[in-house]
Amino acid sequence: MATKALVAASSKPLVLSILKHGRSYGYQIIKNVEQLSGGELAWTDAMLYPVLHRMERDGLIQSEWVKLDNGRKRKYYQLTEAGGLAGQAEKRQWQKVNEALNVLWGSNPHLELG
Amino acid sequence: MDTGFDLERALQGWRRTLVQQGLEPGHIEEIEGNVLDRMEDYMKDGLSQEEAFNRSCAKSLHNAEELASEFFKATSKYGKTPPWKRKIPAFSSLPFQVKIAWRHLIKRKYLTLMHVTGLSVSLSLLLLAWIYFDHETSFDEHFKNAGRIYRLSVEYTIDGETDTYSNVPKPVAPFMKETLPGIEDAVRIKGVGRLETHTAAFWVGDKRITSNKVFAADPGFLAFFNYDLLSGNADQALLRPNTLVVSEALAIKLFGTSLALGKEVKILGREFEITGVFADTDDNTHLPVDALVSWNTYPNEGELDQWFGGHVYTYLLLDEENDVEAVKRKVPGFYDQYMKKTFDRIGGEAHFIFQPLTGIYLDPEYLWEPYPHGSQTTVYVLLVVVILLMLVTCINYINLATARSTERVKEIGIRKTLGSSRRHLSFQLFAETLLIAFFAGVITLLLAVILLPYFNQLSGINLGIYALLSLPNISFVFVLSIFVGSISSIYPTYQILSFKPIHALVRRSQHKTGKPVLRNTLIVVQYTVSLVLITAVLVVFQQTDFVKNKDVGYVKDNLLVIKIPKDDQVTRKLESFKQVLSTKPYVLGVTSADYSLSDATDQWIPSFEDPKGTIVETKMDLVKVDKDFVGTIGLQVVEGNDFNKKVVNEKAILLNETAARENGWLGQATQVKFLYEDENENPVKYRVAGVVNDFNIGVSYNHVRPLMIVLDNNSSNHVYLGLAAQEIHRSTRDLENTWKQHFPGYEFDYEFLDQELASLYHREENFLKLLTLFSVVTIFITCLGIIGLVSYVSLMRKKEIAIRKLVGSSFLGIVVLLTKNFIKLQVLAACIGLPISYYLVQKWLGYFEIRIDLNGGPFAIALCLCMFFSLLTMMLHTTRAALERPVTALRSE
Repeated sequence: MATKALVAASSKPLVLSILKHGRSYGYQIIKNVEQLSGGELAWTDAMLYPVLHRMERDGLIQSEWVKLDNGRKRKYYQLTEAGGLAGQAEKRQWQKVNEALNVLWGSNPHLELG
Repeated sequence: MDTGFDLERALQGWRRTLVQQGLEPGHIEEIEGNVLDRMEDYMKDGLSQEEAFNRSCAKSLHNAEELASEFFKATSKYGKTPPWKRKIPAFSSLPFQVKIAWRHLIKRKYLTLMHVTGLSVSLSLLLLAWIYFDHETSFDEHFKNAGRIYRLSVEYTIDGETDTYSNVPKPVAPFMKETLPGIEDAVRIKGVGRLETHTAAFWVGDKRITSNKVFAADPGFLAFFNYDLLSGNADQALLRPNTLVVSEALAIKLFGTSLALGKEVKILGREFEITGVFADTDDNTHLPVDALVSWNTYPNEGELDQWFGGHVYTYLLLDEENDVEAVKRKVPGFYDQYMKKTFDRIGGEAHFIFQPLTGIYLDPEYLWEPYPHGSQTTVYVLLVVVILLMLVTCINYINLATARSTERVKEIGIRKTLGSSRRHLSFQLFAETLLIAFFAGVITLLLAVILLPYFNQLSGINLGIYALLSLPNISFVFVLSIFVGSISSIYPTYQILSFKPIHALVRRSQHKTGKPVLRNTLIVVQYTVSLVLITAVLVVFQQTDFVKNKDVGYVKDNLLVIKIPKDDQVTRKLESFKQVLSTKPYVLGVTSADYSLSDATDQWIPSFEDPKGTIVETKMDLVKVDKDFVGTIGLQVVEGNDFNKKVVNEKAILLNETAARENGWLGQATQVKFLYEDENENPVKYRVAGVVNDFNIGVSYNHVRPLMIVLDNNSSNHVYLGLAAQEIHRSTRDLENTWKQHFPGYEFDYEFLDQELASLYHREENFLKLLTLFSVVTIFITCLGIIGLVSYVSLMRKKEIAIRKLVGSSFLGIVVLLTKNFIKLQVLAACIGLPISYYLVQKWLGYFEIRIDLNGGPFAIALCLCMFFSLLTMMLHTTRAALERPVTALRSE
């Protein structure tokens, strides 16, 4: 299981990256994250929805209620333009982190240690 | 497949949980979608709908609070901590609570008024009673060694009759100090006139000041009681004869300055040198002193060998161990060594009593007390009455608060539904209590100020308004007011908080607040207390009235008593003064006597020769009079004759009927001789001239004791004048002028005997006034409580009453319906209260030797009064309930 700090830190880039592929809704997002991480990231409702609401307030995503065929209503989220940009920024940052970690975990990291 | 699972209902439950947690409906709707999506997945895995729903919900419900908090954080513009996680001390919302409370109190004006009035009336009495109690029980505590000082009193048993004296023979103090271990010091003090007479006139040139606090004291007295000497030396001031120590106040009165050391003053015809001035002492002492004359001024008569009679007040200071019991154990040995011989001769015995200094003032008065005492009965009855009053007040408060809470069931129900916690609700109710307590406190102080003059008159304490409104007193009132309020609102608050909102809102009129057992007990207690108090008032009134109007055996009306100063200049001219008086047209008779008839008498054990010639020693009271005594005060001679007015210095005495009867001389009293030794120790026989009817000297409720009346023109401390009733006012003015012509410079000090006799019953009258005051207040408060209860009951049964009226119940029928229960309770209270009051008044009456026959009257009247007042109150209120239009009651739902 991922640590709480990591879950918190990764929630925004994950949501942005998922929504880059098209609109989605809460349960779908949770399920996708769970599958992508092989069960490592099990998001709760208490975690996801506030993140979504915060991002919406910050103008990164926008929501709309959609009436389904079975009569139920569902709230869909999709990226805004600002969200797309933020997603790219996140992507660069995480790739940097990823590269750095990969080098460190490689056989010859060329480190200068005091 | 029908499993009985209703998804829609289950969802409703789920939503409600989240609403209660504080989530907003929009958010819930969104999560609901999530729950349903997840549920569908579970169902695809083969779970039943119910299981799928439960598992799906579990995720959102199991940490619903965290869910809500996260939502709050994400959406709130004000702070990150959601309300349900904020730590708010309940009292921080107090100002707001007080505001709400204020609105409630205003809304129910009458109930609030009753609450505040009930509380403040009884609190103001409590405050004054407390001041009185504190004053009465703190006497003599200011003396430095108060805990180790004892006054010695003595109980004589002679001829099977026991008398207790507040003073003891002269040799006791020096001999006890010398011989008994454990006694550090002993001092004696006596009235400067005679034994108990501590009134004296001070002459400085032509200036004359009288004081009734003048004593002769042992040299060690000042140091013993730790007097603060402004000038002079405490150890030496009273050593020499003819020296005098005065209080600062008296010095200023005499000389206009407290620097009086070395100045000369004349008292009772003797010159004194002032050798000390002491700071004025606290006046709450059983022995207030203005001036002290040195003991050595007076010849040491009987100083070392007179072990019976010749009494002086004697105080002992025990050593540091203060073991009074050990000292007492040594007393019988002391008695055997020094006193037994004397008492064996008289055929009696003596028993010493050690009275702790601080307790003297409330102890019973023994014979020859220097000053009147406070009344322990009054103090403790007052204490009990105050406690009862507080009890009634608390009950009243509870009843009113219960009534109030009934009206508020709906409001509290709504508050609870909207999420008020118990803590906040109780705080809200507490705020109301606090507000009531505050107002009650303010009104209490106001009432106390209004009652102050009355209180001062009743208690004899001269309390000023600033002393009344001292900080401790004010805090006392507010603390007590809040305390009583809080104590009494515990139950109603508990009551109101235990309402189920659903009952409060839906089926109000069927809801029961509190068990009737408790409420009924409260009413019974209130009724009982009122009943006991009213009975007490009636009996005390009857007895006081009885003793005041009892036939004293002589004609007390229009009898004027002039007090004659003990002064040679006066005594010399007294006979001519009496002569002049007897010529006045409005004077029906003039006589003189050593004692006032409102006072006490001397007692001694004279010898008689009975008709058979046997010598008898018997205890008698003694009054010395002139030969016009019997006629002037209107006594009846029942046997023999009055004194023979023509014989000068007649050797004759009179007896009263009791003296003749107890000695078996009735019918032959004139054959009895009184045996006496004149100043040259020659035996003299006085004949008994006659027997007069029994008459009371002092209070009328004591049995008349054997009395002998002796002719003695030299003991004229009081001149009695029988006046013509029509001319009283003119005559007193004329008498004063005559007095001034005879005795210039002396105060004309007179009193009408009937008034002076009436003043003997001040204590009983004050007690009566106190009881009356308290019972009126108790009844008043009980009535308030009844009002509260009746309005409560009629509110509870509002609908019932309305329906009864609709189906034809009469007005009277409804009144009976509402009051029936109260009357039952009143009967029960009577059954409890009457025996209690019977026991208490019997006990009180026991203090009087002669008392009224206790009959059913006072009890019946008390019962009627109690019934009357409560029925009246009930009627007024039930009438209102009974007259209400049924539709008003019924349309509410």
